[in-house]
Amino acid sequence: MALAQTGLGFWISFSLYLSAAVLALLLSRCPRAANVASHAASMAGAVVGAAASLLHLLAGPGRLVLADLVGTVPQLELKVVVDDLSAYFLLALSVLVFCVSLYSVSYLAPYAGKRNLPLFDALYALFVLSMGLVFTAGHAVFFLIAWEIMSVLSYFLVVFESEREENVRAGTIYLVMTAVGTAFLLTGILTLYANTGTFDLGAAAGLSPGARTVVFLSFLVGFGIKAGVVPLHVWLPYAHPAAPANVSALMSGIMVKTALYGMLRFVLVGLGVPDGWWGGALLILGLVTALTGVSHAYVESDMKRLLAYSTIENVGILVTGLGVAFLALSAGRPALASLALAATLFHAFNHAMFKGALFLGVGSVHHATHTRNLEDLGGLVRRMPATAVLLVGAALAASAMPPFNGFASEWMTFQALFQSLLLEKSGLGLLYVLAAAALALAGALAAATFLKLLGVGLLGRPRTPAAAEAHEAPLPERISGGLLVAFCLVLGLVPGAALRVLERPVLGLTGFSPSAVSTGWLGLDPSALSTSPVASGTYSPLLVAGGVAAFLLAALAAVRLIGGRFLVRRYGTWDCGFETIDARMQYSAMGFSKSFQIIFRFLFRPTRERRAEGEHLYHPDSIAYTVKSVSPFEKFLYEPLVAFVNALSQKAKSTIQTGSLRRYLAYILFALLGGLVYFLVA
Amino acid sequence: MELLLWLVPIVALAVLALPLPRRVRHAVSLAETLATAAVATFATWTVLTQGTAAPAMPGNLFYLDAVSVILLDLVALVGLLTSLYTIGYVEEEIRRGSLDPKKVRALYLLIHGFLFTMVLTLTLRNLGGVWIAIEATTLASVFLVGFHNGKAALEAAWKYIILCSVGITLAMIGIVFLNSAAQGVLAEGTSLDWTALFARADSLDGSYLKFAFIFLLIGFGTKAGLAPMHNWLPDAHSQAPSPVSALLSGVLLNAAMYAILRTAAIVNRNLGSSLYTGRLLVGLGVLSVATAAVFLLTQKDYKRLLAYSSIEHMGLAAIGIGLFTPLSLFAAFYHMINHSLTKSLLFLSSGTVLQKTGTREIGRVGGLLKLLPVTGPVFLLGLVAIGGTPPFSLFASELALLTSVFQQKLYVLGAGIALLLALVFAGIIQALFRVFYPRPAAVAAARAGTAPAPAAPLVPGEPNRFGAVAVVVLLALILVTGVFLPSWLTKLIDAAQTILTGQGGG
Repeated sequence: MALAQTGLGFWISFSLYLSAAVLALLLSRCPRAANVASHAASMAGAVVGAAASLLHLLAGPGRLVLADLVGTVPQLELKVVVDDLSAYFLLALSVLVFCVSLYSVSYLAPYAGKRNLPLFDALYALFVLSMGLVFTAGHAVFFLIAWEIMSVLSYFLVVFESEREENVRAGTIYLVMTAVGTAFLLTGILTLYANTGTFDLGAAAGLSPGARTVVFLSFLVGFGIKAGVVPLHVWLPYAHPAAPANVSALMSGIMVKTALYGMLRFVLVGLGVPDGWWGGALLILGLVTALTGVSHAYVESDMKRLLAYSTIENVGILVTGLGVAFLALSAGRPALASLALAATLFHAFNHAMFKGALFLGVGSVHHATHTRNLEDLGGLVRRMPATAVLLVGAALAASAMPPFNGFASEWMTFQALFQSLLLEKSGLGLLYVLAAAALALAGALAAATFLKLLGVGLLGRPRTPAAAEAHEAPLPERISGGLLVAFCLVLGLVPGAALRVLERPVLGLTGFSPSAVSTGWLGLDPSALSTSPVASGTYSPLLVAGGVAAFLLAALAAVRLIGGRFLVRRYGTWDCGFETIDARMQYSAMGFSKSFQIIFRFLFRPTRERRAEGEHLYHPDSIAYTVKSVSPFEKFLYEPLVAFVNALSQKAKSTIQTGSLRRYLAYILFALLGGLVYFLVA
Repeated sequence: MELLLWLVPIVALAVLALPLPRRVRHAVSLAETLATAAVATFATWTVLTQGTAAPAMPGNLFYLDAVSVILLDLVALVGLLTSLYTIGYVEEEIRRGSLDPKKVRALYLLIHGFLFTMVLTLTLRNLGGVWIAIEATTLASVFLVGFHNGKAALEAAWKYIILCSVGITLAMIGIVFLNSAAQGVLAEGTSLDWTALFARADSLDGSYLKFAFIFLLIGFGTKAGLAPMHNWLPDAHSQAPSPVSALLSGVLLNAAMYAILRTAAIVNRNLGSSLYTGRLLVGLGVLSVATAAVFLLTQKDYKRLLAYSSIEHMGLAAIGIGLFTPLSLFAAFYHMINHSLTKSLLFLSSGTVLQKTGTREIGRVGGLLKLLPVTGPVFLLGLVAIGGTPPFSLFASELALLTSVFQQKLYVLGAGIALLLALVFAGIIQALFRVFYPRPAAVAAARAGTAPAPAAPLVPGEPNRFGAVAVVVLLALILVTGVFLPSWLTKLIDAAQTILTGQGGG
């Protein structure tokens, strides 16, 4: 395994990403060739990167310094370090990038000639590279640089289709939030530096409790913004859908995980054993995030926004898992922490796979029908069978259905919660009960959300001509989605393999190997890690999969055998005077989740509008019914804030800067007087 | 040899005063700035090897050390690139009919006179002389601000001269008290020489000094654009012809900051601590950054927006000078260098944008990336850079500055500045990125389904090829200095920092 010792693979991978960007720009005269060449290079980089990280995780030297250049500019140091944690995130990045780049080859082709496609490809490749550097930065300032570049590049990718006003708006919200997030990261990093005197990433000992709190809170807000933790999530449902589908897949699939990585790297590794309340805060934030995200996802009819909200839900699950791990560590239960962290890291990987597949599939639907609105779709399962199958698979994983990977990792999160509950003697136990209940609710709503996505979008009849004339996605798009769904299935069937990969990162973080959880490759049994007296549950995916398959087969056979006789039935009795079934008789996307919206009125605050056209009240020519709901965070937190800042700016302009020269002279005089008073006092 | 810094502009001014064809004027202008740059390079070398450059002359007026030579190099560099830009700018203005060819002589005379006064500010030993030179910069540049003779331009010039004259008067009171502080300590003729003042700072009268510093700070601070004395700046910088805006924002503000720097060093040395000056400077600095952050948000004029950003960056430099630690001074110098280059890049590019589109209103400009194939992308990257985004140089200096704040355990101040910087960045980007999206008229027309407005469609292309070269050079410079500081520059900045803190013998 000499190769793993040198880190050559990471070098090759990064240089291939860079060359993808350069290739795209070099071939800019010929956009189609540039597109293919650039994404081919990215794919090659991803393959090498995946192999290198896998090798590193299984047989690598642990910590590997790839580069360390001390510049002449103060505080600037180019330091690239790969350790087990980095390698794990690089693995997720590489796998996703491979599929997304393959997808991009055909997905972006229609843009050729219309937009500056080579520039887009170059930005895309650099974006991938910047994420790779975020995961491997060994120096806090270099991390910040990679982070900033990643943010700015993703901004440009979000506003790529800038002719749409809402994309520009989404980009602006994103950029503002990102800038604020960076300010918090900067505060955290510099506070660390002021207390330790080094920018090197690693354990920072000897911080006062106050400094620890400042650092934790700064990183919580800074990374929380990027991850979309409620209430810092407002930008995410705008920005993720605004980008082209391949970028959405990367942003939702892996960019939000940079925040998880940051929390692990800076807080868990950096600050050591967490303070007790940190975990509690994370747990509560995570649950609020999961519930808020999923309930908004459920009522959303824009497919990509629905997926973006679902990303927020999954971030909530990740943060919850992180919170459980923090609590376990601060209570001195590293074994439990290792279970929770393994669940979290596993779920991060799984989410990258299924959310990537979902965004890619929805992107294909979007290109085929030119709409993202579920109300305009329907019946796609006939027109786009392959894409539909992929979406079903990915949606099953996202709704945490066994035997897919989403279930395996959520199950582990639940086990960690249950174990914490059993071990906890204090009032904190109630928190775990609530957490488990909230996660269960989130899971149920997620299932309903994806049922809605699939049921309204794929089944039934086309609601518009565009949906009726949809065409199947090109081959590369189907292959890339298929690969991701295959990953979801395989990881779900053999979670032991995932735990094997996870072993070293988690071991490094908690000192306990999570591999004891897996019984062989095929099952999960967390009792090995538990110190509680009560035996925990076990999960055997193959058994469950077999059961599900057997049940499905039996049901199918039953339908064939029993129902076959009644297949042809023509009745006119119960059709209420309508002769044929048409698209308008189907459940609409809004109708699907309407009751939920009404129950949780206080959250969504829907405003409805019913407009009838025609002379007769009871027989109008047409009725239009629309419901709008605004997120309470936007309505009560952000909009007032933005309005206040703008008003302040306007007010300042009209009262401070009146254009009156006398007033300006007075300011100078006041400044002078202030100075003289200071002179007397000082 | 260094005296050529004075001689070259004087000769050039004399030549430019002659009736000459326009081409020759362009050539003389370029030659003057080239020669200045060459002499400045030589002077830099002298300072690097000998510590100071003070050629013998009657009165010993000339004095250069690391502090001033850094800023002098900026004047020379930005002056050179600006004069290159001006060639194309003038031709295009004449082509568009917005500049009377007869006024070219006046324009060049004023620009070079203005450059000369800045060189003087930075090369005089006597603080009284510095004061006179700064007043002269106002006089030379006020006609440049009002050069276009429009109502807005004249109003801007009017505000500029009134406010800056008041400021300079206050500064004069400060100079007088500075002189009093030196009474009985220094000989009659040298009582305002910086070298003498600084060398004997310990024995100067402290309360006079403290009193003088208030006046000097408010007075020169007016000229440096620190809030709340900044109100002339947005008008003046936005109304001036674009090459002049670049000089005003890029180098003139530094020259005013230079005077503050020198006096603060004397006071700090006398008091043995930087607390007295530091509180004032940091206070004004934070106020400037905050003011800029608030006013940036609702700007509709892109040149004004850039002007507000200058206030912000001067505020940051003031904070660095206020803290007066080795790292903070390093950061302040580094920041002034980076701001000079980045802001002149932006003002020069914005001048080309203005010539191309004919409007200063952000909402009426669009599609710049296509419209200006070189300047457009450079402008975009310049905006990203001015927001303090890596790998551009302002990121590195802002980081160094914030690090120095945190090093002093001023967490709240540091976090506050970081947040304000984020606000400023967001303000600039959200206001200005609109100019790169498709033209609003085209979008509106596409939405309404009608043909584009009948106004003549703009043809993509660079109106000012010289200018395009200048801004590309600047972009390369801010990219390089963001990741790599040549050792001579690090050495210079370190030397400047050592001179000011008086460590290492001063």
